[in-house]
Amino acid sequence: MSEPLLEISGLKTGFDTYDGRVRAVDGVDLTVHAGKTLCVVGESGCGKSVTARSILRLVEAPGSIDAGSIVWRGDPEPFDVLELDVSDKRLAKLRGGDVGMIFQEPAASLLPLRTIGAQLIETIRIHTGADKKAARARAIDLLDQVGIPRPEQRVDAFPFQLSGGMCQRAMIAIALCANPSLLIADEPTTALDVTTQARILDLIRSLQAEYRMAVMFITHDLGVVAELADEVAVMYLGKVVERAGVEELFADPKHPYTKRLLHSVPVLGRDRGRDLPTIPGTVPNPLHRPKGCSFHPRCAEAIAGTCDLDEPPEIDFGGGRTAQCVLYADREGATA
Amino acid sequence: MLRYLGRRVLYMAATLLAISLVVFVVISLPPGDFVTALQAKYSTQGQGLSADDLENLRVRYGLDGNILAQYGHWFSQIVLHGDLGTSFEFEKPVADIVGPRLGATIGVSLATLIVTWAIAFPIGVYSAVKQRSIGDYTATTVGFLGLATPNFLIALVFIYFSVSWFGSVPSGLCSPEWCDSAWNLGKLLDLLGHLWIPMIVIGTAGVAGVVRIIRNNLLDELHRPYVTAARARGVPEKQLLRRYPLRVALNPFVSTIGWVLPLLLVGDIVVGQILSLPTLGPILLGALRSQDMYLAGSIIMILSMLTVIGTLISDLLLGWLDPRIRLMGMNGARQ
Repeated sequence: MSEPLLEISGLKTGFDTYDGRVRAVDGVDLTVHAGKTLCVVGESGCGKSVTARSILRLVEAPGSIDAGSIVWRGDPEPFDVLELDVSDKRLAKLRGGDVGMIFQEPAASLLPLRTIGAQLIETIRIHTGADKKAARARAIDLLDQVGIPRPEQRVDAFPFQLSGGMCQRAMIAIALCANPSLLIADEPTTALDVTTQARILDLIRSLQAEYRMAVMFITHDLGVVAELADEVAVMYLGKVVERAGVEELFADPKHPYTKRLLHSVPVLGRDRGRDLPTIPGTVPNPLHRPKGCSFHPRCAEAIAGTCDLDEPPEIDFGGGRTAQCVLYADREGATA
Repeated sequence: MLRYLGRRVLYMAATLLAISLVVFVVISLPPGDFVTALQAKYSTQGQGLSADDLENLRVRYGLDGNILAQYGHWFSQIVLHGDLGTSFEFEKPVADIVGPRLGATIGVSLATLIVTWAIAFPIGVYSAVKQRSIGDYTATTVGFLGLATPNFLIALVFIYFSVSWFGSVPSGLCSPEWCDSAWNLGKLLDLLGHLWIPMIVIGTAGVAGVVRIIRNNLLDELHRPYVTAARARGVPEKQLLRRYPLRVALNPFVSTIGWVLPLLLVGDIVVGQILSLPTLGPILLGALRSQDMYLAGSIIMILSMLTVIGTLISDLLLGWLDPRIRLMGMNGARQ
């Protein structure tokens, strides 16, 4: 196993609403290893995006980070991102320097009034201090690397003159401009059509090999997880309920939620003529989190008197595999 | 681009033609005409006018034909000879009345406008960036008061305090001893000494309005994905604000800049009246009251023309500022 690059532990991020504080992220522990791909998967509203945004301190009011630590080990001297002052140079270097980030809506993530070149060159100059000419040359080179045809011309194009896929490529070029060691991708293909999505995934994979960077990929698409991940973290209602290597997860899911999730993926041929299995019920409102295990009202294996009362223990199966479920509490070899 | 401009100028001409007709009809709508108003004035002074006198006057002023004929005469004179007609009341060409007041009007309005923007812009930006802070609440509350207080009331308050403290009324733009002298430092200082009053009086509501526009525009933009994305790639906060949301927030602002032109010319009518400013506003008011139709009509026509030209300037500025309009809107117009 390679070196840990980023260690999130006990992260709690909440939002103030009129009905009270919503714990979008409720004690998340995650580790991203250098050069590896971690996929964070979960339904809408499970806190995966907020977790990603917390890393670069991008959570805006009325949201704020309440507790936890996010330790960056990419520097010779590791530091806790959450303890940095907002004006700290290390945070400025992290944002766009050591950590590149791409977003769900590529077109909306670029300012429509400035060319993609202007926004790319700006970022290059912030992080490398290159002069205008060198930065422009580097910008054209980056656009070429991310597969934008005729980069010398496209560098002067405005975002609204490019397709969504091209905008996402431009965003990736911006994220790469300072050779980051981590790329955070927050559902980068959700707004794109399937063909474009496959091309962007290919691009991310080949760039990852080329730049030797780690990727933290946020998605709700298990197909994407299978294609891209080394490790997977499954989130449910602000918590990581299961962690596993990608093969183990698909071959032997432990948590009932993961099992159900995998069960509801349609399989060509098998599912002909029958209803697609679904998980009964809906995700509870995080304001009224169920007592005990958050998943117990929807869980077929829930044990009355236990799951609806006590927080489930985190079971460590070794080798980076964990599951937050009482079902494995008395297993041999597993430690709570 | 030229084609776009040509089309716009054509639309402008059509708009102005329509406006001229409406203006003329509306001015002629009240019962009676300038001669009636004159007659009323004479009779209050104890002098009667015979029916023959009235008829002669009507012929002399060209008020004997029907409205359409009068309109045709007036409009063709403007278009063909650039002649705005003659004021009945002043018995002078309209151009000679409007001309000398242009300088003072544009001066007062421009000074007010620049000061208004210079004050309002930073407050609006601060108010949006520090939303729900004490500073924001203060600015918003004071802004509400400024918007809600009529300008003429502020002018009256000024006059009251000025009389009770200094024993004089701050009227006009110059002291009697400087009014007719040539321009020199003394006159300039005297002008500045007078100018601040209309600036404050007219400016308060203006500042409040602009603060609200800037604040709301900016609030709309501050939480867009492109702001988060720019922050995520390390753009420093000050640079981020200036280059990203503020640029977009300027759009609605620029699109109304053209409306400032007519305001520049006429100033604030009621405030001008109260503070005896030598601007066009009081003249327009007087002309409307005495049914001095060519004077009133011409001033309104000039205002309309400036409004239309101002709108064109706004559109061109927007095109320059916003590539979406430049590259998509104008291409669309070409098809």
